[in-house]
Formats: sequence, C-alpha cells, structure tokens
Amino acid sequence: MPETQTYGTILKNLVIGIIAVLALTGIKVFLVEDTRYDRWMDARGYELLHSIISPFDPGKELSVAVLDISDVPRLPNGATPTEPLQKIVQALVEGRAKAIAIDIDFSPSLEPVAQNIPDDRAEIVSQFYAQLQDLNKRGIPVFVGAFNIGPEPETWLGLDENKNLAADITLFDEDTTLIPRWLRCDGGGKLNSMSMALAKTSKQQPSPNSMIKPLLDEPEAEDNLKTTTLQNQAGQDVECKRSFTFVNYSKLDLMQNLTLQWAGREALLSAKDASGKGKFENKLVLVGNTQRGKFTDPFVVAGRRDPVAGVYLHASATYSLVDEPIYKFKHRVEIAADLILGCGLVFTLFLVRLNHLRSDDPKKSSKPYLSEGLIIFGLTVITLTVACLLVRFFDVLWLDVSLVIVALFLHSKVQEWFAWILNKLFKIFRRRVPTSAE
Amino acid sequence: MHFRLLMLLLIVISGSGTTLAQTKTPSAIVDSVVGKGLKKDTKDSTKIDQLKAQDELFAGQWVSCATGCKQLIISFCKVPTAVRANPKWKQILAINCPTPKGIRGGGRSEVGILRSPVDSEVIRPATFSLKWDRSAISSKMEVSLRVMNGERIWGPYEVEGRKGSFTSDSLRTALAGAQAAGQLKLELSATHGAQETEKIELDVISADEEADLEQKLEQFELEPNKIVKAIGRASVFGQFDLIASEVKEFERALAIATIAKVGKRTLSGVKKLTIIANWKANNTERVKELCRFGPPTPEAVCTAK
Repeated sequence: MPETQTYGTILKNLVIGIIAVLALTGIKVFLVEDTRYDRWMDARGYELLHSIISPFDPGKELSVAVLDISDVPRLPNGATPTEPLQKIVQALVEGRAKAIAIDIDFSPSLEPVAQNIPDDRAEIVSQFYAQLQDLNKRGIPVFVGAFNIGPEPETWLGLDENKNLAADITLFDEDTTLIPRWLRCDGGGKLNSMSMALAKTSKQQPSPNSMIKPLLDEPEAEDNLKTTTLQNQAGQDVECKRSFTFVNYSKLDLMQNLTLQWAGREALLSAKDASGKGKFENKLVLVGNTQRGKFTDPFVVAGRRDPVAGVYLHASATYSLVDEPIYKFKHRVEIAADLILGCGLVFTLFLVRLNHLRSDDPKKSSKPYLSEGLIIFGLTVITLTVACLLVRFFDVLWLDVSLVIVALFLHSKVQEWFAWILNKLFKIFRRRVPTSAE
Repeated sequence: MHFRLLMLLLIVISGSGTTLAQTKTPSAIVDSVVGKGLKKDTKDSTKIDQLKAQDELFAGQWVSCATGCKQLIISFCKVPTAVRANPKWKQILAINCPTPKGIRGGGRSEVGILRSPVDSEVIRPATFSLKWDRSAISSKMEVSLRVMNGERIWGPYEVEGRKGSFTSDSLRTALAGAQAAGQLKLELSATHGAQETEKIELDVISADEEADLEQKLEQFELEPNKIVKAIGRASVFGQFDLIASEVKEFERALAIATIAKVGKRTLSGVKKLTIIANWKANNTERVKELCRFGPPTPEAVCTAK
C-alpha cells in the first residue's frame, strides 16, 4: 500500500513538473518577453556568448576600415564642409577603396530662421554629389548619410536624382545589437542603411550552415520587420517597415585600433600594411568622426563601458554582413528548446525518483535533494556547453540561455508552489463533497 | 475602331499624368515677392517664369532673386526663408517636414510634465537645472540620472513637486563627471504621481565643444548693441543645441527690443525667433502667449495644434 502511494506521488510530481514547465514557458512568452527584464537578460546572454568569439583572427583580414575625420576643420555652424570631403573621397579612390560611405547627415534640413546667414549649401553640395555620381558610374560606389528622412526618396538627399547616393544612418539606443538594415515605405523606395549599402557592393555575403539554417531567425522575414510611421511631404502618415542586422561586435577593438586619421592625401596613400598593400585597398571604407568629444553620436554597446562613436556601429554591422555574421534562433525554436530542456529536467527527475523507489539501497534514497541538485547543475552545465558550441561552430548566439538557466533553478520552487496550490484545491473539494451529499 | 481606341488610351494616359502632377506635393511655397522673383525647371532651362505669392515650388526647380528683386521669401514646411537678392540661382530641395531640425533618435517627444531640458537636448553641467509643470504634481517627485543603458550616476533624489524647478550641486558634479569621462549620452528619469516615470535623453556637451562655445560667446562680449549681443549669443547657443540658453537669450533680446521701441520689422523678427526657440524648448504656453500678440508668425508654429 505505501509503495503504491509513493508511485502515485512520483507520477503526481511528473504531472506537476510538466505543468510547471508549461507555466514557466507561458510566463516567459506572455509576461517576460519584450519587457526591459527580458532585454536585460538577453543583453547578458549576448555579452556572455559574444565574448567567446575571438577579437582577432590572424589568418583573416578585415574587409572594413574606418577613416577618422575628427580633425577636419568645421564650418561655423558645426557642419563638415564638402571641400575636404571631396579630397578625402578622391584620395580613397586613389588608394583603391572598394566602396566608401560617409557617416555625416546630408539630408537637407530646415535650419532655424537666420536670415543674415547665406545659405549656399544646396549649390556646394550639388557639386559634391556630381563628383560622387561620376565615381558611381566608374564603378566605385560612394554613399552619404541620410537621417530624419521622409518616405519619398526625394527627401533623402533633397532630389530624386541623388537617391542612389543615400544610405540611412539612423541608429537606435535601446538595443545596439540590432542595427537597421533597410527601410521600406508604402509607395516609396527602399533605403538601405549605411552597412547594408556597403555590404551590397561586396560580393561576399556569407550564409549560415545549411544544416542549422532552417532553425535560424531570418532578419528580412515579414514577421521580423518593425513597423514605423513616417509623414510624407503632404503631412500624411505612411507605414514603413524596417529590417535589422544582428551585429557582431567582436572586432570592434581591432577596428578602433586600426583606424587612421585623415592627415592629407600623401599620408593616406603612404599608409601600408606588412605586405606593402595600401591600408584601404579593396576595403569598404567608412568615413566619420571617431575621436571622443568630437563625435556627436555616442552609443553604448553590450559588454563595453565607454561610449562608442556611431560610425563604429555601422562598421561592425558591415563587418557582420560581409565577414562574420552571427545568428540567433527563431522564436519558436527558442520556445521548443525551453520546453525540451524543461521536460528533460522533469523526466530525468522522474526516472531518478523511480530508480530510488525500486532500489533497495538505503543510501540512494536517503539524499533525494542532493541528486536533484546534481541533475539541475548537470543540465545547467550541458546548456552552457551547448550554447558555447553553437557560437563556436555555427556562429549562433542562444540569447535565451540566461533565462533558461534561471528557469532551471526556479523550476523546483515553481513545482512546489503548484503542488501546494493543487493540495489546497483538493482539500477544498474534499470538504465540499460531504456537504453536497447532506 | 482602332483610332477611337488609340484616342481613348491617349486620353486615359494624359488624364493619369495630370492626376500625378496634381498629387505631387510641393517642397516649398512662395510666401512673398517684392520685385521680380524668377523660377526655372532645370539649371540649364531657358524658359524662365516670374514668381508670385503662393506659387508652388517642387524639388529640383531653381529660384532666383536677381536684378529687380528686393525680397523673395519662400516657405519650406511652412517656415519662411529668405532667398538672398543676388544673381545666383537656388535649387529647391525636398525637406522632410515633420522633423524641421535633425535630432538623432527622431523628432520631438510627447509633452510630459518635464519642461526643461527637453528630450535629446544638449546640456552644460555647470548651468544645468531641471524644470517641470508644477501644477501637474502635488506630491514629491523622484529624480535620477544614469548613463544611457548603463549605470546610475546620480540619485534617486526626492524633490518637492510644487516647486517646479530643481538645481543641485551634486547633480551638476555628476554631470561634469560624466562629461570628463566622455559619457555624453545620459538618461534622466522623473517618477511622479501614481509611479508614472518620465524619461528624457540628455546629451552632455563635450569638454572640447564647451571650450569652443566659450570662445564663440566671447566674440559678443564687447558688442555695444544689446539686442545684437543677445541674438548673437542665442545663435551660438543654438549652434550647440543648448536650447534652454538659446531661449533665455532670445527672450532677453525681445525684452530689450520691446522696451527700446525698435522698428516694427525688427521687433517682429526678434519675436519670430523667440517663438521658434520656445517651440523647440516645448514651452507651449509661452509660444501661445507670444503668438497672441501681433501677427501669428511663423504660421507653422503659431497655428500648430
């Protein structure tokens, strides 16, 4: 009789355990996801797993280079004049850069009324655009930044004829692991971000391992696009969709160390690597302000305390697209992994308890909590190992890993709560049965 | 039969062309022309038209205020801009109207109870103070400051909600520390009422920029005309996006211009600049007040709901 009761308890625990797994997964999906706690946990997961990626690969050359122009004299209103930019672009072309992107906002904006200041921007900039269009025709793509844009392509750089030069430089603070890829508006054009515009000029765009590809998140899938509303020139709301690139910041330090300052054409052309090759030869070059105090777009990147200039975010996104992409799982794959791990834990505990029950060895059944603790610890180690192997061999960051570990540790507590609630309900039910019989 | 079909097709095609031209939104409107303002469709076009008020201008067209033109004012996004009186032609560019001035992260935030600084405003640690709508809070407000997506560097600190403003040396020191460390993007949170938290992004001016600012302000130290001095200082603050200081200087210029009884045009010009500065600073009440007196210009700000 007591043996049957113990079997019953184990079975009851199995059922409660599965309910607890479902409840924890439900809590995660419906209550935790997309909250700041979830983002915080994801950021920790990103930091942990991202640190496994090597910051330097001696056998591989970076396809991306950054040219710092912080020391270029500015106009009185703080803007960078186009004259030195023309020289810089020309020098980079001579230095055989593959493609160039200038991380400066060129979208026409309405300055506060200042009638005494002459406004020659349109004329000066149009000469610059003519030079860039000429280079584009010669097969050297050059892009300039567009920011605070409207849905109509003519608002990107002021004229429809220059839309091919525009690259979106919008970045978002909330989560710098995701950098805009492109923006597509109803009835308007598709504007590539600076990283995507550069990556498109490069022939190499690695794809994930075909074995694991079906499980991975597709950044351009309709479900993953974020909707944003822009106003057109007529003041009407236009729905736009934005795609994002999951960014690999592992080479950020290297990019910062390899950044050269603009010090004139000769200096740029004489900068060579160990093999005598020009530092910008065959590179995707991003031109921008990188010196602290001189850049106006500092961003916080996961795993780093110091703010990073926006141009490095674009550079890292470009690197992720052309050299070393990283991936994350589809949402439903993550949920499936949560359920498999949770149920794995419950069934392992079930088997261990069953084994204890059948065993005649008193030592085995005397310390059930120790074996349960060991199982949880073992599963945590397995989870972490799998997460590390996924990064190492498939470039996949299992961001959920920290939440999964928390859930593994919480599981027994949640199970206890469920058991307590079910006991209470059972007692209430038992009390009511004789009352109704009366 | 074929001829009729062809004619029908031509009518449909020409009709759709007209509709397209009609639906294209102008990038600018001619506000006023004194004398002879000119327009042409392309840079090399020989066909030149004379401009008149309310003419629509499209991106890519060229305008000029040459010989015989005293003043040409065109509006981009309902904000008037003067075209200089010289023989050079100016090309019309399409501007994205909802965001008249580029702030990274996009546009103006919704108006909460915090009045100054506004979201994404550039601030100076030494002169920083916080202002809010005191009529909206009856209890205490909790304020804290953190590095954007990073650690908290000041607070939480309880302030009396009814006061409407707050200045603190410790807060200024924290801001100066962040400036020195190069942590220029901060987030200020204010929790009030039923645990309602309002967050604004602060861009601390960098030490180099602040030195540059001081140097530029020095240029106006010896300016004898007080209105010119205030407007000059305001424009310098404006260059660095120091909106609160810009407003203060324009208000000073307006006060002096009103007392000094300057010409109508000067007064109207200073008032317009003050309205724009207050609008940028989210000072809605002050904008309304200024728009009530005299002609409500700029129209885009004064008629905005």
